[in-house]
Amino acid sequence: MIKGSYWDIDDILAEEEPIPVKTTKELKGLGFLDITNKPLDLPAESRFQAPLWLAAILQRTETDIELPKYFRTSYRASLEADPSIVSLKAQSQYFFEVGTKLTEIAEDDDLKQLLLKVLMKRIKFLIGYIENKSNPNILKRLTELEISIYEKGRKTMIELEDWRERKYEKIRTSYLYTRPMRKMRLK
Amino acid sequence: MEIELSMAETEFFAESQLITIVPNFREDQIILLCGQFGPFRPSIPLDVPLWLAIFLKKQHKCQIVPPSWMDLEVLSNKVEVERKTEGFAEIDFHYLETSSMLLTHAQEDIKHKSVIGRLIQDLYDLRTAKIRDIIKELKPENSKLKLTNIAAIELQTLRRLLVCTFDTISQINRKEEQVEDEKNNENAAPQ
Repeated sequence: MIKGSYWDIDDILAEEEPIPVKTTKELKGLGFLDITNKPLDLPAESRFQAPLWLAAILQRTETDIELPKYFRTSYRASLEADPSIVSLKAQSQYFFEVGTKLTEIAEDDDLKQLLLKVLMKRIKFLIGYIENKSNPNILKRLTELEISIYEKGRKTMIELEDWRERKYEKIRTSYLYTRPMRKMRLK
Repeated sequence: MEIELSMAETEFFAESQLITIVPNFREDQIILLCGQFGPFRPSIPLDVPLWLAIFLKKQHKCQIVPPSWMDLEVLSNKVEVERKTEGFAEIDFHYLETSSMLLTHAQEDIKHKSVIGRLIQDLYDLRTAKIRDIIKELKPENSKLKLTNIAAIELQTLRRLLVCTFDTISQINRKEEQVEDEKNNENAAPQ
């Protein structure tokens, strides 16, 4: 789930996602931001990719944020057609996190609606997958958020099956004991 | 850390429900954390917690009287009602745990145990199908689900998934002012 807290590792990693930006004015002394740029100053109308956290700061100056490829109109069409079979992981591991942050920065209400729609469709599809015997190949198409939801669901299903077979009543050997003793010895 | 209930814990809660037993031994009143039970007199029925009933049953010291809803006729009526109504039919909150425990440990006290086991499985299947329908109708606009009369285990299968989904939706939905507010609160907290 999106926690959005300061210490959340997924939140930190999501802020590293590259976002295309475009300057509207010349920026003094910021030439190093664009690798292809030689001079010290960043000229107007230059386009480059910046991590999300930097893009958010740049936006306060004279820079426009351009949406990443997977939020642009052409890709939106295929997302709206059937979000459940698209491999979002190939686009971004943090699709929803980046999207949420972008809606906050760019105040894009359409994007928010799109995110909600995609999320709901994919979660419903996932829940169906979790209940039937699952195919691990599906994990390749999921973003980090979806993987955590999938794992939660699987955990519940396994627990339910164990409970139905009444496995909890049997006393089992401790994991610590069955583990090879060699590993436990201190050097 | 997130606090999560496991199935074993759900069953633990079910074990504190009262159930009627017919003891075959003589004993004075006993005092437990959950209350006082007894005195035990042979063939005089009394109510004890389910875990105590099963504990005594394992030592062949009592006969368990199954709860009223575990009757063949009542259960088959329930299955009919469940099939006809749209929402969940009213049933004991811990029906799955209780029946599962009784069918394992007190088989000889339950009449028609195989039929009852099958009816409970039918009931469970019907209800899971309804849960699946509810999930299908989930929409981001209304984060409300009608789960009246849902049972403990069924709720347990939904809990982790739904909490996670609704949290994510609310994170996507929240407004910028709220983010600012939260940031201010975070800054204010350490002082």
